Amino acid sequence: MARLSLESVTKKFGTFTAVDGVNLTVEDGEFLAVLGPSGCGKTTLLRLVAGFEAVSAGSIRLGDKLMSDKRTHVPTERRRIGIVFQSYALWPHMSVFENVGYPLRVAKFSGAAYTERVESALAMVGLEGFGHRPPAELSGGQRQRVALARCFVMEPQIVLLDEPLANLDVHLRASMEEEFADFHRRTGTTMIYITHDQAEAMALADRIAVMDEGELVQLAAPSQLYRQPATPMVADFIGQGTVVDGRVVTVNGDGACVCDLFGSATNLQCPPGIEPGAQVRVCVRPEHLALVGRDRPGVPAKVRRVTYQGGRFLVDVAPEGQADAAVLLVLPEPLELTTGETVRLSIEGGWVIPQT
Amino acid sequence: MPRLSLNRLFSTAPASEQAVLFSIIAIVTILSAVPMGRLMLEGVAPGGSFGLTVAQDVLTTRSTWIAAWHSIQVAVGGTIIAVLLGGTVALLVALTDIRGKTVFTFCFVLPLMIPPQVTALAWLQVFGPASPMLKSFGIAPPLGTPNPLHSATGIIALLGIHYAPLVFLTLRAGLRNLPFELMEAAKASGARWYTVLRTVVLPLMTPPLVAGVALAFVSSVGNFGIPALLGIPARYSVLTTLIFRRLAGFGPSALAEIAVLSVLIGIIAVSGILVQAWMLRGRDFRVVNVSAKIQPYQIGRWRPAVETAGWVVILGILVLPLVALVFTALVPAYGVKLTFATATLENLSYVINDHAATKRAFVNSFLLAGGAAIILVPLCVLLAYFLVWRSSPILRVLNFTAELPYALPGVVLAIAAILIFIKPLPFFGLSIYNTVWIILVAYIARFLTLELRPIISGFHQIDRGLEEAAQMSGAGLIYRLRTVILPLVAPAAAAGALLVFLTAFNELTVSALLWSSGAETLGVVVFSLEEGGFSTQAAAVAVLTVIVTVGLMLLLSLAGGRMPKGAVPWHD
Ligand SMILES: Nc1ncnc2c1ncn2[C@@H]1O[C@H](COP(=O)(O)OP(=O)(O)O)[C@@H](O)[C@H]1O
Ligand SMILES: [Mg+2]
Repeated sequence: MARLSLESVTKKFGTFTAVDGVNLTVEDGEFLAVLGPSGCGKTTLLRLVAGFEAVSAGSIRLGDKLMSDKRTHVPTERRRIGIVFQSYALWPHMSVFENVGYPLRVAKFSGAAYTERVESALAMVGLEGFGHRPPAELSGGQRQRVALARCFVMEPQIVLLDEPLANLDVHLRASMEEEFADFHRRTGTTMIYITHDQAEAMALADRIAVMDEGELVQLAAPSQLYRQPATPMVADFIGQGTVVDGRVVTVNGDGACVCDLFGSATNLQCPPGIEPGAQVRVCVRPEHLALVGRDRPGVPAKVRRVTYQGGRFLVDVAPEGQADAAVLLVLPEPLELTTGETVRLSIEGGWVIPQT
Repeated sequence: MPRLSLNRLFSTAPASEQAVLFSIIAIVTILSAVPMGRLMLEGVAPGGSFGLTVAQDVLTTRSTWIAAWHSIQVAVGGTIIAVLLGGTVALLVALTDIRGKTVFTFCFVLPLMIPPQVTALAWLQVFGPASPMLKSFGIAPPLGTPNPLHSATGIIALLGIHYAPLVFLTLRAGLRNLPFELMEAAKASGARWYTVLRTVVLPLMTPPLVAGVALAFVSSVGNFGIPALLGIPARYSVLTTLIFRRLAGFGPSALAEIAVLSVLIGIIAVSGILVQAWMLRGRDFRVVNVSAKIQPYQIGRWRPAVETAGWVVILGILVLPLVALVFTALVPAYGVKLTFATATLENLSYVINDHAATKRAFVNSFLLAGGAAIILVPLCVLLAYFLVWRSSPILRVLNFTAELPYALPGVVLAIAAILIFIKPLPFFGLSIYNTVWIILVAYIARFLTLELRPIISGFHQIDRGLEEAAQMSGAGLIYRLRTVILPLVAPAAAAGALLVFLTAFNELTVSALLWSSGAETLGVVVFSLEEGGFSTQAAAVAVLTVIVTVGLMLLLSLAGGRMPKGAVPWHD
């Protein structure tokens, strides 16, 4: 186990920059999720850490050892990093036992020491008695566990997981999520978990690193990420946030301010450094929004779309004056709204996104 | 759980991958770029001193241009027949619902795998006045009538039949990837089958079709067996036979001259490839989103007729010549009728038991083909590994040069091999000229691509993650190769090795120029027996090679299900 630190890590493929100046430290024993839309460079970042790719600039350290920089490149086979591949990458010509035992064989383990360690690794993932089977005879979830056991047996300094649940169906996902959390608790291994699914990241991680177009845009604990997104992209990507334009009216210190949103003064949270009068972007979440009667103050808005989500509705409204802003509300059943209808919207909170 | 130390592994240095890569680069360069360079050097600097007089002499000789013109003539003619025949059959097999496609495909491709000298020998038995088959049916032309195959037309016809499967295979491979929605969309727009064919299928199939044309042309230009058996007796020379006769007649003293002829034939072949590239320039033939595979056309009441026509073609191009060949192999002397009374196994028994050269040739061809196939396995696996998974840029260039010894006519490589090995090798003082080893080296160079292609397609079909998982486990390159990579590409490597064996076992063009007494190959023996007038014995040896060929092809077909897609060319 060790601390992993990345300093200005950059990876270029030709002229295309897939990973752009990422600074990141993963503490010993931490569970870090890397979250971002498809194509943002998550896998590339992981392959850089694993040593499958060389960095174009910057450096990667594991513990106190330099792994990669412009001149140095420790090959993967000497990094002792465990990886759980999206495709599981189990060798079809070996039994489950041989798959799990492979890293030990490489390290020239044999006899009782070998057998014992493989068996305890299989037990650890609940696959006792499956050793003789070929991987082809296992279910997706079981294969995933074999891959975990194979990592575990080599006592890695750190475990990397690249969208390990992407190939599983919804029901299995929840139970495998549990499995990963459990694995982390029991072994205390540093883990980096890559996903494009924010719910997965929120459920599992101590901290989440959000990536966009090769850059690390925010690194924070899940709840902070949700409450205080650093950019409109993060606000939008996480938890159905709506980003709208506003103007700061007054700043009250201790992180509160009043903004003009659609012509009505609204109390919001804000980061330091916001000045009155500034044009800002504001993240408004469904729980900040409510529909009010005609007699109460509120922003008139037109209903654009109503989507039933089982027990509740997702309602997309366009406030008057900002017809292109899509504001999302979650409303319980029963609900009688039709598309095109005009409603009154009250905004009871929100987060002023820091200006860059 | 106690944390035992695994550090001893992770601190040892991994086997140097760079060293492996450089060795591969060196070997491939020696096998491909060096011979081609050596040959070109001889063209401009004969015997080591610069001078263009030899080149000038050769290029101003009338016989050179006659042979070159003949080469182009028969190659163009052969290509046209191959494209018409192979193209039509490919469309019928891929796009219609005719039955028995597997067996039909096997039979249609068989002529390509039968060596050209055997094809030529068999067809000679179909027409000649002394043909045992014609005699047996009492339809032989009167003695003294020339065999019509001893002519340009004969050579063209046989080249066409021999290489039709080549066009068939390239076009069918393309048709397999044609998304069937594209045809459905055309049909839904009201297009009849011929409109669909003209407006959708053929335009999209331009690249494989053009590739097939180029392949058939280059192969025809380089073919030796057919013009040798049909052309030499009629004094109709093409470049390959001209080179052969110069070398046989004047020996190494004519090497400079022969080198120029080889460069000339190489240039003709390369122009074929360049025309292909030019025809496809700047056009986009990519089909997006290959989803559903082709759904064959229901041809309904036409089906029996089309099927019958197909089998009549097989009867004509495969069964007829082979039957004629068997007739000849079974009669006691050329020109004798085959009856129950005259039928004899004497020829077969003679070539198997008594004819020393044939016996040697069987052993030589077996060992040469097997040796080349086996030596190429580790080389091609490593080469494909660095090409596909490491995408090494140097190797990408090298991959192109590695194709040359196979893409260019066999005589080009053979002459280059003579130039390199005629003097003992510097440093080693080793001389392999006039031994069987020079043939082995030439085979390894020539058939490298043949073995490499299935292995490359094998690598493309394996999840790279399987290797990366082994890397993560701490395994160095050699260990990974042994425990993970080789087992995974084994089926592809086996397919490649068998293809090389099949091709090398029947090879004539290279060995005809490189053989020496004691180092005969089967191809050389068939050719020499026929040239010496021993047609019945030649036919006997030919029948034996056909049996081995068909046997190996059946073996490949049976194993085809376990091989990566596309590794066995004629298998689905
Ligand atoms: N080997 C490569 N060569 C060229 N471009 C690559 C390569 N690997 C990844 N990329 C590009 O880098 C970008 C990020 O890819 P990736 O890291 O796989 O994204 P993610 O895992 O977040 O979906 C993509 O645009 C991809 O096309
Ligand atoms: Mg990815």
